[in-house]
Amino acid sequence: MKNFSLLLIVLLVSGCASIQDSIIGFGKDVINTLPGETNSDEFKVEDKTYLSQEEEYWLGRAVAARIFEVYKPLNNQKVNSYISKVGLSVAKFSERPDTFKGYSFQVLDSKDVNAISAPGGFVFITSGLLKLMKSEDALASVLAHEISHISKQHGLASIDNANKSKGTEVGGKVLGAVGCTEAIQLLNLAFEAAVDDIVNSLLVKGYDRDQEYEADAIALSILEKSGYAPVALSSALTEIKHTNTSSGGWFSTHPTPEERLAKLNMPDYVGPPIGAKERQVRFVNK
Amino acid sequence: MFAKAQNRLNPTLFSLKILFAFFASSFSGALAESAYIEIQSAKLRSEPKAWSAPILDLKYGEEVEIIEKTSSWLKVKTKSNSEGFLHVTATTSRPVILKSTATTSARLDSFEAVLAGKGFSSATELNYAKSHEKLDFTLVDMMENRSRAVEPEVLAFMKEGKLNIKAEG
Repeated sequence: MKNFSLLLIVLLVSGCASIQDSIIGFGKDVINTLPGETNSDEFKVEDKTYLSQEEEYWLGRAVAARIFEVYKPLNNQKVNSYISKVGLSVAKFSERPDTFKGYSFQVLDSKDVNAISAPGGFVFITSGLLKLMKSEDALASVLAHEISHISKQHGLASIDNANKSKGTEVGGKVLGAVGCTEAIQLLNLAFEAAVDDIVNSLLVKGYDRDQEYEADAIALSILEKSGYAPVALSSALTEIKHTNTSSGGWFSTHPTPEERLAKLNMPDYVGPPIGAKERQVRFVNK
Repeated sequence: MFAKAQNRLNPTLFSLKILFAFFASSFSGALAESAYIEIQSAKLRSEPKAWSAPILDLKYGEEVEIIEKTSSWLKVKTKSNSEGFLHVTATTSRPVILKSTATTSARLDSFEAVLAGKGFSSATELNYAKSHEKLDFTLVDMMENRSRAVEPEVLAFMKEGKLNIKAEG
């Protein structure tokens, strides 16, 4: 953070005020200014901590492209369209029904058991995880968890956690910089560093455990509100727990299913939800 | 007696009414709060639900007047006097300066001015793609386009699956 503050100072001196929004978006306060919320300090030039939804979107696209570098897309239009419809339905019941250009969903052709979300609305699920799901409701629970990471901007929050070395490097380069050409270069370097941090969080390090538990709790509330069975989340976690795969993907980036199940505050089971039969038919035929 | 007393109070009441009218007009002026669309296209909806019928599309940066607020939804009035609901997360309290028209230092040439004004933008992506030649952004485009294509079918999909479209938004 200190290093990005240095960037901000340089940009203020250089007069490229319009770039400040992007650079200073890396401040830790950005995670406290979720879309739609008002930060009473956000109009103060010296304390602007705002990354616009458009900028979040461009970051998300680059992160998505990096995910496609690791995983191939599953080229099955029918399955992808079905997943998209389930995901878009779930998103409508979320705390953030819209993002800059809306949510997008993609099945990844991999035996890994994994689901990933990138800032701005990009959601991925591997065919390995999809095969473990026994119902549309279970699939919806996984997508609701990922959408909750996006609505809470956990991806953006991860930028602040691990950019010390890159920030130092960038900071060193800009000490003597003045003009906007340099500022544009800085913008590009900051973008690069931010994408690296998010990808590292998504594919290697994982989010903080509390963020995972928070995403589970929000997913549960989405399921309750939408009419999907809340119990589907615990069913999905139980399926993941029983799979033979025990390393890589989801397992290296999430708390164990047992830990997550223990944290879930499940509502009382009230029998099969309305529409379960209809949803099961289309899930099987996907 | 009562009538006389009332008559005597009239000048005072009149003054109070004037004062009240003054403060009321000032107060209502202060309450005319604006919100700005912060996503590319936001649907103004007939009810505070993300699946309710859209009245019209509002453009990125468009200003609306807030009539009522809840924690998740704003009841708003557009410049063309249409009223409806917007999810609070599609808006910002900050005026949105469309980046393509942002002004920058006069020292810049026009190309740099455009880049500088955009923050993270398609230009940033272009630069990123140049330095990461193996990345395939067409896959991201494909992913986005698919979701845009199925969006009109989602309400029918929700109804078919008997999802709770009567829920609070």
